[in-house]
Amino acid sequence: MAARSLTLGPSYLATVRGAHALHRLIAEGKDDSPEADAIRDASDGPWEALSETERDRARWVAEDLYSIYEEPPALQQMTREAQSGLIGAYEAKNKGEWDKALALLREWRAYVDPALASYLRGLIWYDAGDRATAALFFQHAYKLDPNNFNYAAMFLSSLSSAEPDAALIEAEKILHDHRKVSPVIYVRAAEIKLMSARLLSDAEANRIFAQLEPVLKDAMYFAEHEPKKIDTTTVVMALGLLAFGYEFQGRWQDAVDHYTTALQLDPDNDGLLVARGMILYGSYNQAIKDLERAVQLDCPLIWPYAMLAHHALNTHLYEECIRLCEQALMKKGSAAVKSEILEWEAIAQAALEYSPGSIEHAFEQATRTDAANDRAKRNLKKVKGAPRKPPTGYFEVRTEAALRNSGNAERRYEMARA
Amino acid sequence: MPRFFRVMKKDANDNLPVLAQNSLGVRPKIDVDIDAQNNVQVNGKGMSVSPDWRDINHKRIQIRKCDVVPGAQGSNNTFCFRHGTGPFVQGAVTNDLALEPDSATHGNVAPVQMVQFPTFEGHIASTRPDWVEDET
Repeated sequence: MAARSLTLGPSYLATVRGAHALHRLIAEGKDDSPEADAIRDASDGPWEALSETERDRARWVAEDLYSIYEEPPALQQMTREAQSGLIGAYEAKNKGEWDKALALLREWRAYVDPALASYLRGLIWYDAGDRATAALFFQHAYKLDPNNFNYAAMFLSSLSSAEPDAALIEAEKILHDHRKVSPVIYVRAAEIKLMSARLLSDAEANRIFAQLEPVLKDAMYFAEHEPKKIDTTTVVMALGLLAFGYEFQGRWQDAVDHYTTALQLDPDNDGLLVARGMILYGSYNQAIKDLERAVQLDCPLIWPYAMLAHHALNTHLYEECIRLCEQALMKKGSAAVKSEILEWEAIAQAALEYSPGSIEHAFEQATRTDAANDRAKRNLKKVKGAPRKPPTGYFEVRTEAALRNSGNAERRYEMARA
Repeated sequence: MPRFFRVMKKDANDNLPVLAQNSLGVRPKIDVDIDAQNNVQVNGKGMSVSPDWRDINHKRIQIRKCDVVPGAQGSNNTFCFRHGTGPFVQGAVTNDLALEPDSATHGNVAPVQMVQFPTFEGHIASTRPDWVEDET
């Protein structure tokens, strides 16, 4: 089971973000400037709201940040005691004992290469849930050792999560002359660029993808001809991004081909399974297999459950449909999608001859969940005069093609926003 | 008289705190509430102090004290000053000022009655000779 991340309240985050900003000024020799005083003045309120544990944590973050700006201690010869302490830090991190992991790393940092020490601090903060602090340590690790691609990849990943605008600036710098860096780095930069462009408009996404396609194909060239220079995760990411871009261009076959190649490398990647399954839904049996596998993998997305519920309804597997609807409704999804799922649940209930009150209630819920769902309103009207067991086709249900088109559009938007 | 600490700038001439809103002083409408007639409200607000300098916001503790307070990020041009000797509880600081603790680690030196803002500043300034540099 994954360790639980920390609950980082607004006062704590304000305190730590202030510490980040103050450190930047201290590094520039502006610790006595009006800007620094403004940060200190603004930080008193949040500081007073912190618990003693949070205060300790905030103090130690600020203390550890000095390692980014100061000369590292001289590297010591590894000892058995130091090794044991560092193993303890790693174990504490895996158990979610974040403060203990950081304390042990601090105690034994002189025995670790400074770049690795910053990378480990970054990893602890990344898993603990403070991506902005993680980004600072990963950036430091990358600066100390630009040849370690993991450092760069984690820097971009954490920055993209914490500060998307800053991540886009970094990504653009990398993409400006991508051949100077490893594909491990520029593929992640391409991901940041493509996902940010998607939020502007489809036309903008297409334009950006046209620029990124040759960059991603360069990565695929490495995968085929110099595989030692690129890892599988990056190849899968590049294939997924190419497929994602082809979806925007309506090049469905190209998208499916790239998702298929990516799945050959990473068969249990639920995101890829859902993407391919949704593109193929209604046309190929492979779609159902993909979506079922995603559900088996406990996919957090609403889509495999929703699409399979629709499929179960169409194939008269009503109990299965209700079960999948219930699972889908527990996932994050738009009001429009959830409203439609509630309709399917109501229709399946009608087929199973549930009480009219229960069926009507489900349709009412559908109309309340999305007030713009006119089909749910029409279905609700029909339920009033419905026979005990309505014939197939009595209620309105969207076709597989209609569901596929709207579902794919919404999935792509959500992916870009994630 | 309660004992409390505050980080302030030091006047090199007499080693006492500098009188200023961000040193020995208060910021109107931030540290204290003021009405339309420029009266300071008696509501527990005032000049921020702590029972121990180690409890003070680490961004105000001087960088040179990092070995004692981890993550200290305060200006090295400031100093920790102490005032009084008694326990950190609600009580008189002078005839015109009282300590109003709002937690175990923080309190305010506040007016005991409604006064004009410049008068309150004068009352705060009158404590200047009683502050002692203390970073022990």
